[in-house]
Amino acid sequence: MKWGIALNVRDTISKTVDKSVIVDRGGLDQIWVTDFPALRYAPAVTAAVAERTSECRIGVGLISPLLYSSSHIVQFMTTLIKSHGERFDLLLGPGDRHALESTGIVVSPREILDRMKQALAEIKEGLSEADLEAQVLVGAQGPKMIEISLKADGVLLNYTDLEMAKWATNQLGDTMTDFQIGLFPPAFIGTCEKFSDNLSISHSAAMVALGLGKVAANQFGMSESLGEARSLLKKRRKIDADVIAALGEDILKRFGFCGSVGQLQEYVRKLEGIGYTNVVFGPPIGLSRKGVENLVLARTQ
Amino acid sequence: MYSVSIGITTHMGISATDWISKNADSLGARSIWVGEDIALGQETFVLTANTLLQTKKVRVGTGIIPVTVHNIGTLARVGLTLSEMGNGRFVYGLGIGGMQDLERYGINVRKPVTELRTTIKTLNRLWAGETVDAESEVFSITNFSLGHEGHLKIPIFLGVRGPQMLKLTGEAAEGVILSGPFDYLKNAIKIVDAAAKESGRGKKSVEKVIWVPTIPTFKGIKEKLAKRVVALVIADTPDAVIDMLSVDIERVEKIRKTVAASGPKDGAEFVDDELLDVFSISGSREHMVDRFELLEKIGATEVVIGPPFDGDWREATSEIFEEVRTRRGQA
Repeated sequence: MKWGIALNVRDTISKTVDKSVIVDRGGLDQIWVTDFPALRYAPAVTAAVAERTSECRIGVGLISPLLYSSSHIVQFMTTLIKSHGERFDLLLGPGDRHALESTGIVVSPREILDRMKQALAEIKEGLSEADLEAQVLVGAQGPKMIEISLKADGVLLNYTDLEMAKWATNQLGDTMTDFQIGLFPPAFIGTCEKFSDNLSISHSAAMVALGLGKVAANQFGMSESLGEARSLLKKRRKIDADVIAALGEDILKRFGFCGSVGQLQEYVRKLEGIGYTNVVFGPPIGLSRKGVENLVLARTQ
Repeated sequence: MYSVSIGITTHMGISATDWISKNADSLGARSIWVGEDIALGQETFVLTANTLLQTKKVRVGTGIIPVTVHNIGTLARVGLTLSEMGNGRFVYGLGIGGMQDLERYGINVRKPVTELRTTIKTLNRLWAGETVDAESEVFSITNFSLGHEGHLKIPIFLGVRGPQMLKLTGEAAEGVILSGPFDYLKNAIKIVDAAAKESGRGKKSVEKVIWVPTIPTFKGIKEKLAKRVVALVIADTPDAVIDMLSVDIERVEKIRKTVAASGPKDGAEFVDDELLDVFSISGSREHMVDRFELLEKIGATEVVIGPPFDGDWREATSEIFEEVRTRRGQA
């Protein structure tokens, strides 16, 4: 099982680089440098991370093809690889709809799927033509994006729930042996008696849950609660305590991990047991140095 | 006293850009300017990041980024990222984009001066920490903020040509990156200074960076290459600029037609020494530095060396810096 962590969410570059060094020395396999709505431009931050690390692979993304052209994405991946060696991967996905809308990018769901398919094909072709080794993964939740991911080198799914994880592997069907199947859930290591008492993990899990598509929401009986929470979000224009409460403890738990080092290790073992090859722990775990150290501890202990 | 800098472009190989980054500080360069050959070679922001990471003292600037081909949110985020990475050494060179590039991207800007003005204003507001609603012909942002801490001020240099754009530079930018023949540069600097004065800013508040082809033929670059580069530059120079020059117009027209019909190699046949001197800085190291000093006399604050980088360009670059130091009694 490959362990990864998402960095560059709100940190300064020097903090991201410091945490990357802890990750690299601590033996985690991957650092994912997140992009918009993260504040800092991921490809440039990735260059800084690459300069100070040597062992771990570095993923760029999630990168949205709605924000960057395929040729631009191929160009920054190529520059990173040629400058710092073949240690880079790419995570492609549409990105947060509300954040994209705030920068003037308004696209229909149909167009999102078309653009994803086209970008994936163009990027794979561009990297192959340049004879460069880089895995291209797709960030997914629902069946349509999962289907698109079959043309990629792997998929990273935005939930923690094992039932949902099994459902996703069924959607994928028989994949190539080297196809990577991973989860990319929000995570927090620490005391976590009641999930919704922890604002940071609740906020991150809520953000992921609110992005779930209709099919998956119906499949898992979440349509009503999600609908209520989305109506509130529209009014409030931000995820606040009421939006989180509308989702409820049961839904939040399905989209984020919150627990002790031991519980995390147990969870990863279960994931491995159902065929998962990767797990990337998303914010809030990478926001604090302590979170990064705890994850290294969980991996090495 | 004018500064000497080095210009690199995204189309250059990594070994060449790395050499420049690793040697710029010790050569005494003021800046490294990263020119974007759109969609060609290295990605411009990663190259700029790598350049910042490999240097300690020099200023590193983009020269220039066409604002119309990038999302405004991305431009703002890139600015913040590179500024933080450079710890104050980053300079944002921006422009509207060449007409051919805009056509290629299907972008039609009716009012380019207004577009650039709105872009600069929006970027400055975002870096100042504001939540911004703004729109232009090209972009639209709603309730958008970077969410960073503190008030960030990133120096903006404009890569522009026409008189209205030059006025905008004098009003709103920290510097200008100019390219073109000597007489044009003289006039352009006057326009920038006048606009700066009219806006209540001193003329020293706007830096004038001159980036024309520098071709050190004293170290292996053949004069043929110099003439080929100049033929291309002449073909790309607008009529309005050519009209300002006291050059052989018939010869210029012949070069333009030949370049259009059969390329710069054939056009180079008609480039004489006079045109070579008008459109480039070439020849011996002494002659090149003489030309730098002439540029300083008309108001240039910084002169950029390169590209094209050919022949023994590493040695040539070092010798030009040495010549400047010798004349200043610093050798």
